Amino acid sequence: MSDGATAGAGTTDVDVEALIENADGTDSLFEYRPGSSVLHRLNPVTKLVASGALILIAFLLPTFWGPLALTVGLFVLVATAGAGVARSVGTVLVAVGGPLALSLVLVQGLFYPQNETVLVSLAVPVIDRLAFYEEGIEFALLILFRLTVLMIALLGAIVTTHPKKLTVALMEKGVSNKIAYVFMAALQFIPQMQTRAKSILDAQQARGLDTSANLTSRVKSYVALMAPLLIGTLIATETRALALESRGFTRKGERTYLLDVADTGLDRAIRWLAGLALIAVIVWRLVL
Amino acid sequence: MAGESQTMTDRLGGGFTTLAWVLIPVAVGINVVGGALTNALRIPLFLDVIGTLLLAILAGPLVAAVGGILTNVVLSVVRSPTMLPFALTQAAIALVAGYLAMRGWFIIREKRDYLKLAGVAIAVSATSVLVSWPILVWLFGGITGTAPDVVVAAFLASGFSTELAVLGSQLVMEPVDKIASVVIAYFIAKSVPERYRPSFGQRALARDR
Repeated sequence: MSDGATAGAGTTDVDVEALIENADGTDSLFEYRPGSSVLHRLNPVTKLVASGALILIAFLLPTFWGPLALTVGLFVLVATAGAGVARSVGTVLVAVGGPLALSLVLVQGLFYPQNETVLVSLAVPVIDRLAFYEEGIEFALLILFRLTVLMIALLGAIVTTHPKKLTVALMEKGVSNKIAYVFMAALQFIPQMQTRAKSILDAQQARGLDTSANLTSRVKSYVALMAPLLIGTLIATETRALALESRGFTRKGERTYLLDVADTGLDRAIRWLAGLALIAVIVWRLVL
Repeated sequence: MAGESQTMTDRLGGGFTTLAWVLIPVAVGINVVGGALTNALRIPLFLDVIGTLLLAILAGPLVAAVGGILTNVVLSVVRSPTMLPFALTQAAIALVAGYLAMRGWFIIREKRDYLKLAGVAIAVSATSVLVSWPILVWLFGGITGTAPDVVVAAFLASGFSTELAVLGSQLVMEPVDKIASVVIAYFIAKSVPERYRPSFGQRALARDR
């Protein structure tokens, strides 16, 4: 939970950052990789703005070469932030991008409606001949690299940002503390609920829940699993609501934060640059 | 009914009580964890909007929309950023289901009232298809690297355009999933003890007589 963070601000001789990083990093789903690279030190909002601009640019570029260059560039940038960061981003990239790439190349290469020029023609036993078309493959690569830009940009921003820093930075930029709370709480809830769901599943199986029955009774079992999960969580929820209320959750007025998130000149420069680059690409696409 | 005298904006926006704010992460959790339970029960559906629908029934359209968007923000953090664009689908489903909840479509007193639930299911399916369709076509070119790709491929192979192939696959896949989700969400919402229901939910479900 959000400990005494609201109590006081400013000058303490405790290293707040180290304290927070060590406090609850492990049970959260948020895959934060600590480090001290430039990417880590940037303001979280800067990272989000830059990611957003890069993603929009990737989706505006007409051929796959642009997004491909962005993908490579971004991955190199992310890799400079440390081996752990690169591994985290790489894992998702392979797990999601792999099936996506395969599916894209197969489906679009074979069946893309604008297919005309045959690129490769393979001899296949049953259906005689399988032709991959140039147009389809190019389209597949365009979509694939746009999506890899999306993945690397967002993951790079996420993995190098501690969730608490992110929420404080967002609140300093005027995002409601309620939105910040629900985001943090959701990330903390999910592992807890997963554990709870597993024990409910075990308990119901011990009472004879049949996971190999017909579909209708399995859907009914779903309600039997979900209801206790929800009600259990709701009971804890009421306590949470009281705890939040007693800490002035709905109070208005200025707040101070224990955690200090720097917003440097470099941050502002990057945000401006991202915005200008996006505008430049939009203008270029509209004029051509 | 108690809510009749309130204005529209009151009923829409008045839902943001502390209790509602605390319900949002719970709903997000249910959306995300629900997927794990469907795997355990080997139900061949996504069922990833049940939490959003629950919020729509219990706390109204706007709270549910926040929960829906947050679900995909969280999913893009913990699973894959490619889930992010579908936050729009979640939000649209939340608004439609929440509006219908406000209009009393989840109040079931006799057998034929279950037709209302069917109506909600159709509205939710239609919303889901209509909002996901352009996202799938424009951002993904129809292919997402998941199971429905097979259906899209089948449509493309039989000569349909990308737009129609995606629409076709959505119409094949979505209704079953959303009908099941609406029914399940209704029964779960009914099982929530009244003292844990926010006031919106008490009106939306009304008491059995």
